[in-house]
Amino acid sequence: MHNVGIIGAGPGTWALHLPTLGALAADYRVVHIADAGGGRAGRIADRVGARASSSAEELLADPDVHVVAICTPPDSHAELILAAIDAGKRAVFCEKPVATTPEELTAVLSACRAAGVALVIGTNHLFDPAWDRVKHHLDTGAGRVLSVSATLSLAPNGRYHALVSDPVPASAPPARPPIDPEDRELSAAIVRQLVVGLAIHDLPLVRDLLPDLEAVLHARAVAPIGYDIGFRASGALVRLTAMMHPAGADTMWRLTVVTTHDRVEIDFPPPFVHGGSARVRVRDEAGRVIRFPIEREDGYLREWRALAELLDGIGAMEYDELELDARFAIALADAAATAVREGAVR
Amino acid sequence: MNRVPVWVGDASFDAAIAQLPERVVRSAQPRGAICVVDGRRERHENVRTLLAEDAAAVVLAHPGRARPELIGALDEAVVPVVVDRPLLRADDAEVVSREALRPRHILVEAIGARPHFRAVLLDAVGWVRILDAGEIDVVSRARTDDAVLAALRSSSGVEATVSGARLSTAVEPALAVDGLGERRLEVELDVAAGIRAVRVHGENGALVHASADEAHERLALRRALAALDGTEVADLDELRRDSRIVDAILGSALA
Repeated sequence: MHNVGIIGAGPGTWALHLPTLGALAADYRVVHIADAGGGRAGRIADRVGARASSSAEELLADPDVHVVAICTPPDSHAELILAAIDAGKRAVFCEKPVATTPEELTAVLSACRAAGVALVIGTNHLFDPAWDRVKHHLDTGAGRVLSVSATLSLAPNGRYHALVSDPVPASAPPARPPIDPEDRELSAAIVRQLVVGLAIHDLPLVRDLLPDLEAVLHARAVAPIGYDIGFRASGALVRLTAMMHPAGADTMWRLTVVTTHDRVEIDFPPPFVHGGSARVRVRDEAGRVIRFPIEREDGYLREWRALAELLDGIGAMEYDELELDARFAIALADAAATAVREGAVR
Repeated sequence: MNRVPVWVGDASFDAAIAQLPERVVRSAQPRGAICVVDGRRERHENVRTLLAEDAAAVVLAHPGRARPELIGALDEAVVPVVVDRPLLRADDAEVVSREALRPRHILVEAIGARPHFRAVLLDAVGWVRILDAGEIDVVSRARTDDAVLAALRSSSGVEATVSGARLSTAVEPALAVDGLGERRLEVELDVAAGIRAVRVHGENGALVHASADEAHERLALRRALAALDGTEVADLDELRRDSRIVDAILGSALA
């Protein structure tokens, strides 16, 4: 049994990780939840019989906490991971991204390696069992990857919170300024933020197939909030497109891989919900359409299981892979932001 | 029974002719007929001859394989020209137009073997045109030996991204269109898998439009008949617009 302390009391905690950890009660027990003084930690902690506090320092000082889960805004992740290591914690689960700059990343991974701390980043698509099957299919097939695309059409997350938990009232988050194509600096900043915070779910999968990031081909912000990025990696072409819309159609989150022989489509479930693994459809070299069977568990469950395996000595900590994934994402985010700043498309 | 003659050089339209028994009849002469021109093999000199022999209308099949000289010959035609595009059918386009969607961003992915590659890209670009009435420009393009990726922008402000991959197999082509927005359009066309679907996703779920199982050849003949009755067709003009964009995307290496 691993005692978890969660830093952050937003939907990522009450709608995602608490229900997920509740489903893994044989492995995990949440013992402490901390927020930044907003008061929600107490209400959420009551749900699971955990302690609540109003600072990360209090949580990290709690000797009952063995595993620290970081569910705070991205800019705070690296600092909190380092603080958790300083506090002598054995393991960290950190929502994506692990870091937002190369310097932060170097510091975090050096500290993790030195202390032997287990670290799992919540890029749940990488842990989705469907991806293992797709990777096996691609690795054993005759095809060479020609292109990869990730298409995200995202409904408001609140729609899904109510499907997995009892909602916790909260003041509305500050509204993001809408994309203004004329304001390149703002657009560049938004695109960078979205790459390290949203596209990053799929980038480890892209890097699994196409490890060498060569060049950004085009990058532009998409209204009201989103991005459209083309880049070349390992000799293939990649497109990442996302649009967050304020209402309307349900979320679509699709990764498509085209090889010389077939086309593989992976439809990931909407965020927060637990509907089993992603749906996979392969159009093979003869034009046959094949659907993979789904697995009961999704990436959210599997990422926590992966951490349990590390803690139990079953799994091996792959710092190098984690680092390369993060560097790939940061490099892409920087290059895309530069492209947007310089005129978006070229 | 006053049937319009159809002249065609092979058997490719026999079924369609048989399925319009009161409206068309096969003819051995192009004079006064709807003449079916196969873009893969018809020479432009022959097309000029057909037109000189008073063809009543032309159906251009396999436009993606037609040489520019052939399109040039058809440009000179004073008769209606209908272009048969199985992955860009007029009835599917009409269904989409009726939905009056205003996508914020359009994505089209095309796959096809070498012989079909240009044709499927033409139809991919055609879908962007259907979803956005503005003038489309290629603002970025990239290619590898077997794939292309292009960022497009319309004069209306809507942006689109078109990608294409050239498969090493002989399988028939496929297209996937996504119009992103509060109402999301999804068009899936896959000749080999027999998939032809138009779906509109909204707050309450997805509306799957029934696809009429009419052969595309029959649809082309019906449209030619309608054109003879006075319905305007802009197919050739649209094909030319789409070709200009595809030429810009492909350059010369992949064409």
